[in-house]
Amino acid sequence: MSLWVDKYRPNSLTKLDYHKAQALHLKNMVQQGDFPHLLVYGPSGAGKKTRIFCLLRELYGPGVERLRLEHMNIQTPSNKKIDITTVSSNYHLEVNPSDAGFHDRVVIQELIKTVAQTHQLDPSGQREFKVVVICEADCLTKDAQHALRRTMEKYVATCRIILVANTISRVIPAIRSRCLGVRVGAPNKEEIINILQSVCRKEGLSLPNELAERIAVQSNGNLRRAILFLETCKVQQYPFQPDQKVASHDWEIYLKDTAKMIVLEQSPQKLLQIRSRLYELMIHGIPSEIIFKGLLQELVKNCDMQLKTQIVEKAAFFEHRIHLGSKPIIHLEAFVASFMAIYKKFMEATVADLF
Amino acid sequence: MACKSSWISTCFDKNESNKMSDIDSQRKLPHRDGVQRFNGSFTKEKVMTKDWLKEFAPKTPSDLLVSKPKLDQLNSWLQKASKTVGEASMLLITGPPGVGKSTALEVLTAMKNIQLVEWESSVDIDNSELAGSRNSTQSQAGKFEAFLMNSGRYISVLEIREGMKKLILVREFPNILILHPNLLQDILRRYHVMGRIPIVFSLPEQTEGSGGMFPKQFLEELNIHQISFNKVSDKSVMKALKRICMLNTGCDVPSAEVLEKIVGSVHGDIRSAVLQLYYECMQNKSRTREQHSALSTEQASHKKRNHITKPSTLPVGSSRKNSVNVCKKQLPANKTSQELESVGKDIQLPIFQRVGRLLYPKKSEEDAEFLAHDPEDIVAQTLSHPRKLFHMVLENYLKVFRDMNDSCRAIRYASDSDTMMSEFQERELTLPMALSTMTRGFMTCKSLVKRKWTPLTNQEYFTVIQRTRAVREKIIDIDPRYILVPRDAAMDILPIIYTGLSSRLDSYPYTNKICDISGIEAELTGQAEGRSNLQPALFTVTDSTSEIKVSSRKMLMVGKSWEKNMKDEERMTGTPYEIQESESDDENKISEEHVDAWIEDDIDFLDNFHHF
Repeated sequence: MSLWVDKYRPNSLTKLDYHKAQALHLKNMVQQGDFPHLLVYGPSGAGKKTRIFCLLRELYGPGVERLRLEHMNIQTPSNKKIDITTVSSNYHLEVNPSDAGFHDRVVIQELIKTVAQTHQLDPSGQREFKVVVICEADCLTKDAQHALRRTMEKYVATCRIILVANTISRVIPAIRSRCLGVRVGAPNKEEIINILQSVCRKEGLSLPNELAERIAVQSNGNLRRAILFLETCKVQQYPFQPDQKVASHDWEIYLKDTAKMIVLEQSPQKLLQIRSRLYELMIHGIPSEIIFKGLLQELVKNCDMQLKTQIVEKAAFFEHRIHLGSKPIIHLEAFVASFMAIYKKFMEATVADLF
Repeated sequence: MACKSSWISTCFDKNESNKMSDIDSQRKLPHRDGVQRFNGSFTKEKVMTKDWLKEFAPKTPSDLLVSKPKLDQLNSWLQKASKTVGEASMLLITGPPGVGKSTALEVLTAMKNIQLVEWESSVDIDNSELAGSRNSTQSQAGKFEAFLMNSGRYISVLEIREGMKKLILVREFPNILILHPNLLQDILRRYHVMGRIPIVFSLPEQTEGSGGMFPKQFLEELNIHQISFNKVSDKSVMKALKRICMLNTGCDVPSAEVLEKIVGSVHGDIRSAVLQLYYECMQNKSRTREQHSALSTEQASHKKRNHITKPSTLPVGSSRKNSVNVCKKQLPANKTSQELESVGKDIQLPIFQRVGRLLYPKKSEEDAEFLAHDPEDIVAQTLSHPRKLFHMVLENYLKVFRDMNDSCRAIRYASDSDTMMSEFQERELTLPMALSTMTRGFMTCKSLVKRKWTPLTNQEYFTVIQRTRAVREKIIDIDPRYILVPRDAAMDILPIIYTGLSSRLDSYPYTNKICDISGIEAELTGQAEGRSNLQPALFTVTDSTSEIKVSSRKMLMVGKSWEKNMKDEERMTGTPYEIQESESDDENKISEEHVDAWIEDDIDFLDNFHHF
C-alpha cells in the first residue's frame, strides 16, 4: 500500500486521463522505434514524469518497472568526490544532477558518457539506445547545459535524453532546439474532478461533487496535490462531507502569515524576523520562486493601484536577480525591504494627509 | 665557554644558551666591549653590536606584555602539565607574530625551573649523519617523531641540574607535516600514548578559511589545550618601548613623538617595535655625529643585523619575521609618519574588525564628506575570502540599521553585488567590483548612527545549509525515489506526511486553523491510545515499500558525501573569534555569539523525525 498518488498512477499511454491527443502522438512516435531527445515541460503536478514513464514502458515493455537505486562516485577536476544517486532499470537511468550543486556539469558529462559508451551487444528484441532522464533540468547551471549540448550530439547513436523541466525559460536555446519539446499542461478543473472521482471509485468511496470541486480549486491545477488533498480529507473524515475543510499545506499558511507580518510592521527588526522565516521555508525545500510568488500575491492585496505597479516592478526586478545571482535569500530580502520602504512611505503619506 | 655552549645547544638547550648570552651581555655592559660581529664604520659604537631583542627581553612576568588572563591560563597549564603523570599534556599557543608567545613561555618556564627543549627543522643533510650509516636518510617526519620520543625519555648529558623538569617547544614543523597535517596528527596520537613530557606548540594565527594543522576535532581528541594570544595593545607596546629606553643608557632616547609613530606603525608587534626603536636610536646617533651617508649604511647594517640575529633563534626568535623592515605599503592613517623610514607593516584586519568598519562607518575627522577608513582597504583584504565577509555583513546589518530606507538601500547594494559575484566567467574583474559596491554601499547608506553593543554572529547561513541538507536527507529517507524530485516532494509529499508534527516549521503559530488540518497527527497520537487505522498506510510510506531495491550502503554513502561537502563551510565557521583588546574603536563592540541554540534546535528536529 502506498500513497494514492503512486498507487493510481497510470502506467500506459492509453490509460492517461487527459491530453489524450498528445498521448496518442507520443505512442505513434515511439512505435516507430526511435525518437529524438525530448524536453518535457509543464507546471509541477501536471504529470510529466507519469507521461515519461508510460512512454518508456511503451518503448521497452514492463522491464522498465524493475528499478534499482545506484550510487555513482564522480571525481571533479578539483579532486572533489561527488556521490550521486540514480534510479535505473536495464533500459534507462534517471538522475537529478542539480543534486550536485554547481558540480553538475561533471555529473552530466561523466554519467552520460558511462551510459552511452556501452553499446547494446544484441540489438534484436531490444532498442539500440538507452534513455537518460534528467530531472529538474531547469535547475542546471549554464555550464552544465552547455556541456549537455555537446554530449547530446556526440552520443546520439547510443543514448536518448529526456529532460524534465518546469519551465523552458531557463533552458538555453541551444538545448531547446536540439530537443522535441513536449508541453504537458496542467489539467483543468473538470479533468481533476474526474480523476478524483475515479480514484474514489477504485477505492470504493463516494465523493460529493462539491468537495471534489473545492479540492480541485484548492490544488490550483496540481493533480498530485489534488490527490494528496483527497487522501488527507479521507484520513480526516469519512464519509466525506460536502462542506469539509480542505487543508492547504502548512508552508503555504506559513508563507501567508509571513506576508501578513510584513504588512503589519516595517522596520529592520521586523525584516530580521522575516528573514529567519524565509530561511525556514527554504530549509524545507520550498523553491525561492514559489516563495516570491506567494509573498507577492499576498502583499499586493494590501496595495492600491499605484502602489501595486511599484511593488510588482520591484518584484520582477528581484525575481530576475534571483536567477542571475547565487543566493536567493538576499534578493528575497531585498524585495521585502523594498516593499517595506515603499509601503511605509505610503502609509506615512496617507496619515499625513488625514491631518 | 660561551662559544661551546652555543655550538652544542643550538638545537635544544635553548634556555641555557639564553642564560649564557644574558650573562655575556651583562658582563659586557659595564665594560662596553661587545663582541664585534662585523667590521664596519661602527666599531666605536659598541651598543650597536648588541641585540636589543635579546638584551631587553623581559625577565619577569611583570615585564611581559601578554594580557593577565592569558598569562594566568598559561601559568596554570604549566602547573597542571608538570604535575600530570602518565599521558603527556599538550598546549597550542596561537597569536600573531611578535606578541611574545615564546617570550612569555620562556619567562614562565625559567621561573618554574623547567627546561625548554626546542625542535628545529634541519635544513641540510647532516654530513656526520651520512657518514655514520648508509641508510640514515631519515625522513623529516621521522626525525621529528624521533626527536619527540627521545627528548621525552633521555636527559641530556650536558644537563647540569638534576630533577629539572622538561618541556618541549615546537615552533616550526617539517614541511612534510605542514603539507599533510594528518601525518602530524598520527605522530601526535602516538606521542599522546607514549610520551611523558608536555609539549607546547607555538603557531602564528591560523589563517582564515583554512582548517590548519590543528583542526578542532583533533584538539578535542587529544585534549590539547589552546590559548590564543591577542594583538598587543598600543599602550603596552609604548610601555615596553619606554622601559627599553629607560634601561638603555647607551644612546639618546628618541622623542615621544617618534615613539608614538613607531607604536602606530607596528600594529601590536613588539618585536618589530623594538627593532624599529633600535633603528631610530641609531639614526639619532648618526645625525648628531654627522656621519656621511647615514641612511644607506644604517639600513644596510640594520639588515645585516637582522640576518645575524635570525639563525640563532634568540629569545624572541626572529626567524619568522623577515618582513620587519620591508616597507610593503603605507597605510593612509600613517601618512604623517613619513619621516619614519623603515615603517610599514601591512596589516590584515581580522574579519570582525572589517565587518565593524562596514557596519559602523566613521566619518573622517577633517572632512565630514569622507570616510575615515578607505573602503578599498577592506576590499583589498577581503578578496581571498569574499564570501565570509559577505555573509557576516548580511547577517548582522539589520541589527545595526535603524531606518527602513537605509536598510532597503543597503540590501539593494548587496543584491547588486551578489549578482556581480555570480558572474564567474570574469571573476577576476567582477569580484573586486562586487566587493567594492557592497563596502561602499554599506558604508555610505547609513544616515543615522546609533551605536550600541551588538553581538556579531557568523553562522546563520551555514546552519541554514546544514539544515537544508538534513531535510533533504529526510526526503530520501521516506522514499529513495524522491531524490529525483526533491522539489516536488518537499512541496507536496512532505507536508502531507508530516502535517501535524508542527515543529516542522520553526515558531509555527498554533492556531485553530492548523489544528484542524492536522488529521494525521490525530492518527499518530491515536497510535498510543490504540485506535489507529491509518497507521499501516503511513508506515508503508515511510518504509518505502516500493519496487526499488535499496542497496544497503545507501544512506551511509549519502551521508558521507554531505559530510564532505560540509567540510569547507565548517572550516569557515569553525573558529570562534573574539576581539578582546583592540584600540578603542567601534570594533570593540563586537564579539562572537555562540549559536549553539541553533544546533540544539536542529537536533530536536532530527529527534522528532526519528521518533516518528
